[in-house]
Amino acid sequence: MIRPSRLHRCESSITLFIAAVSLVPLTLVAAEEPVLDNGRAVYQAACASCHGSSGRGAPPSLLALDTPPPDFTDCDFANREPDSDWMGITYEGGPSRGFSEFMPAFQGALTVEQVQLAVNHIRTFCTDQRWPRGELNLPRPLITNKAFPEDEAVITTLIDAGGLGSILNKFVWEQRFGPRSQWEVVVPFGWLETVDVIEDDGSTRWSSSMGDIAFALKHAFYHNHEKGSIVAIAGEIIFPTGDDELGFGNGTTVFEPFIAWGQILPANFFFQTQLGAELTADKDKAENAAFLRCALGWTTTTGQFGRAWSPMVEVTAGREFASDADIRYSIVPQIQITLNKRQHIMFNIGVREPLNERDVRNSQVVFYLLWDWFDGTLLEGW
Amino acid sequence: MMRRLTILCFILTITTVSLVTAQAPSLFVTADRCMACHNGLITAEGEDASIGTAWRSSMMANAARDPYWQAAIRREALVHPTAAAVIQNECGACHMPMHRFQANAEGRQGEVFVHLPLSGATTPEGLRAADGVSCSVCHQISDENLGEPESFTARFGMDTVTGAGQRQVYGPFDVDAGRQSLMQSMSLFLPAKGTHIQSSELCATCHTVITHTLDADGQVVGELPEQVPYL
Repeated sequence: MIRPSRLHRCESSITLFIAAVSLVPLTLVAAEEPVLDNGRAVYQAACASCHGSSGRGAPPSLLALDTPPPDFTDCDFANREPDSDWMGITYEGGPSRGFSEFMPAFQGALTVEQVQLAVNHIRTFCTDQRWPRGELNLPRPLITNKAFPEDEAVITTLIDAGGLGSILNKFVWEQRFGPRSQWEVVVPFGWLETVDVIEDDGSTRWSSSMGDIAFALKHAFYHNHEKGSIVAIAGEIIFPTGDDELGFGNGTTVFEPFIAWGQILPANFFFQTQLGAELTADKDKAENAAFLRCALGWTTTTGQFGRAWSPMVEVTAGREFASDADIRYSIVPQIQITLNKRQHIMFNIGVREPLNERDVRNSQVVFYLLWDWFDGTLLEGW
Repeated sequence: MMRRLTILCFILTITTVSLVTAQAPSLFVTADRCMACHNGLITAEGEDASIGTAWRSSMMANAARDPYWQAAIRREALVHPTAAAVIQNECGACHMPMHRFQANAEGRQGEVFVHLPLSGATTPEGLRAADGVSCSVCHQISDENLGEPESFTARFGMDTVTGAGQRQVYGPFDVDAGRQSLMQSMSLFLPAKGTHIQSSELCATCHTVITHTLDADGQVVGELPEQVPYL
């Protein structure tokens, strides 16, 4: 005869379980429904149990979560994204933006207005006003540089639509440091079709090379969330690392200072502009020049907090300092779309159309793939 | 001919297993999906009434970690190796209920030893095994046959058809639509009122343990009321 083991006695478990269940009515009956008419009240009622009254997150021992709640007092985290992102995650839950399933969706439990109140309260946890607000992080145009400091990797491609073939790429790695500054490295590379001068029969050949590598610093010296403005100055040194004889570089060092301004406009419109100069070390290799780039755009979303679409139109103007040089104008209609739920991987495509000197300048197809690496890896958030 | 039959049997087996596995919904979640909201509960008198912390240190939460139980079931399996699978499945019903019932729903036997030591659990199945008598076990028990012998020895009623995200869990109160969707978004369960959750008959489903005695051939030859506080 086989007799299974005698299990331990668990009468005490029953007692404990009944006691625990009986606590529920005690708790809920004793508590009164809080009046959720201000940010602090909403935050305390809906957020504080996980995120802590101080915004630093409740003790992990209380939550039993693998993903600890973020620290809202960390300005580097808390000021990066606009209210709409915070509200989207709060209202529709973490998975709606490719974040943790442990962030619940408050849709139905709170109104949009109450969520906004809570987000307003969360904004008070960062007390260092030097950090620009995420609202000022406007969509990146194809040509015009932004004023907002970023943690991004971007690869931009320009393909000539006519004439000899030209495929030029530019890889940009941007990294923030401090509240308002950023450094970046630019590595151009590409392929150019040239007439074969050796054969001298009109045939062409393709060549490839790295271009002039550049290093830049940017600092947002002014930003105002209420006015929707951000202004940055930057300086870029472009080193003559490319093969200038093949057309992949200037052949001389170039210093490019510029100022960039971003402005939020009513009705989800925005405007960005960049004014700068290209100052060369060797004028025999390349002329000094100045440029002005402007972008007007508008952002809409799929649903209330869904995927962002940002059509934009850029107008660029550039002129060499030589007295007989003409200003070269181009227009660049484009659209930026967010590719994944987290919206940290984006794609922008447009056409750069010359507005003058069309006999020597080709139309170009321009596009970029952007990865906001601070928000997650390339595989996250889909 | 034999080769073809073997291949056919293999394909049929794989297909059957796949279908059974695919048809079984995910029945449970571990307590981490519940605790964040059901902790930090303070009564008007200032008493900490956090359900999560009360549960976590209870014998229920640590049912799978109980070293005495682990040693006892190990001994039984060593002494009676031919009945090891049955013993693990039987005892896992109350000590590793989430793993055991999920395995049964998928057409498998519940296993105990494969999940030991529990501290190394990383897979969903391992985590379900380690979580003991967790929130989504008791709160999914329906009122079917409660208090009746048919419900004893962990034969409680539970929905095994509805898929994850739409399954109901029972509590003693009405829950408004807003809180329903809030809880559903994180726990994947829809809270519903079921006063049977407060009844001792619900506890009695696991705490009325009547085990079977087997003969040398593994045949049931008798019963042993191991734990009967409800009776």
